[in-house]
Amino acid sequence: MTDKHRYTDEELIARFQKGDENAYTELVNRYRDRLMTFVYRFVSDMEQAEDIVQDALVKVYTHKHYYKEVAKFSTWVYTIAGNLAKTELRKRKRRQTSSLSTLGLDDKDYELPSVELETGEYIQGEYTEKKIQEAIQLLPLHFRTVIILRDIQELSYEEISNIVSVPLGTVKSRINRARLQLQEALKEYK
Amino acid sequence: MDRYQFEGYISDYIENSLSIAKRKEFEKYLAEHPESKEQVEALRSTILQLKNLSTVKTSDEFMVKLQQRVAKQRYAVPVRQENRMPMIFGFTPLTAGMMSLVVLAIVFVGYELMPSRSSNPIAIPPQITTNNVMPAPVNSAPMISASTESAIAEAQEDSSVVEEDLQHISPQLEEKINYVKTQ
Repeated sequence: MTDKHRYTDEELIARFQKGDENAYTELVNRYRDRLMTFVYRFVSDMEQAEDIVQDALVKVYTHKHYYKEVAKFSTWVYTIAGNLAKTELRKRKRRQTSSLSTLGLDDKDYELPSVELETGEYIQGEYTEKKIQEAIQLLPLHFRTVIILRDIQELSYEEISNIVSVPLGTVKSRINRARLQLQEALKEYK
Repeated sequence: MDRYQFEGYISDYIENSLSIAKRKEFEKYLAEHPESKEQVEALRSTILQLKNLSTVKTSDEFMVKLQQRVAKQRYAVPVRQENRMPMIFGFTPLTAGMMSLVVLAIVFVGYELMPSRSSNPIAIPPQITTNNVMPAPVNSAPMISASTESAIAEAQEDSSVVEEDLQHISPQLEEKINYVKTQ
């Protein structure tokens, strides 16, 4: 085993709970990019995603004693980040609704996010990635969460079931339906 | 297997988690429906695309910002705990005191506004007595007009006719009642 992974996540959080601040730094280094990928795919905004990841890791710091070793550390930290991301999306939705309602019917100078094809703007790889990201945003939140955790983060069904607090069968069914919806949305781009 | 079941098993088929019997059934459906084979391949490709999406990295200032926020929290938490006030039913003493005063004020004002109870609840108010009732004017106009009088006279005539009819009818009725009784 390499020096970097001499300790498991659970051992590190246990050491941090006993006051070892270096263990916290190690956990941050292990999870910052994984959480960033998860949250960015969820909210689709780099700045907001980074703020949410920071919030989640600050929560890990301030609420370290809330973690109990019955669950994996990754389950706990993904649950925190996922809840914060959902809260942010709800706030964003409220802001969008209120800003649209204040404009009134005669005001036409607002723009909703476009999903139109922008041919030639990106090279193929970036173009595909952008379209997939847009298609993910079209999914309902409960589908979006599970498909990111399964197909992008590559977590097990059991772990996803613990993170989203729904039975395993429901998780499997949601992932299947999310994939079909995503495929349908991507078909329109091709 | 129908279309609905096929779509329900598609992920399990791709991930090789179907039982042998179900897998055979699924593959039979695929052989019978070539378009569903295309759908399986398209879904397999979508999953692969998702797995190959690039990792999103945090910015270079991430750790510095995080350390600043953590440092803030480190000093903020003990200060909050030291200054924590004793709570009364979840309210601070000041809020609880003010709320009690408001409740007392409402009770007091409500009590003052309530009408006082007397021994006779339907007693005549002192200003209305037999002594201070105004007498009717002596030369005032008649209260009943001529048309009303004629209407009253007509009604009295009608009632006398009805009475006469009843007198004729009653002996006949008595006869019928007696007949029924005897039967």
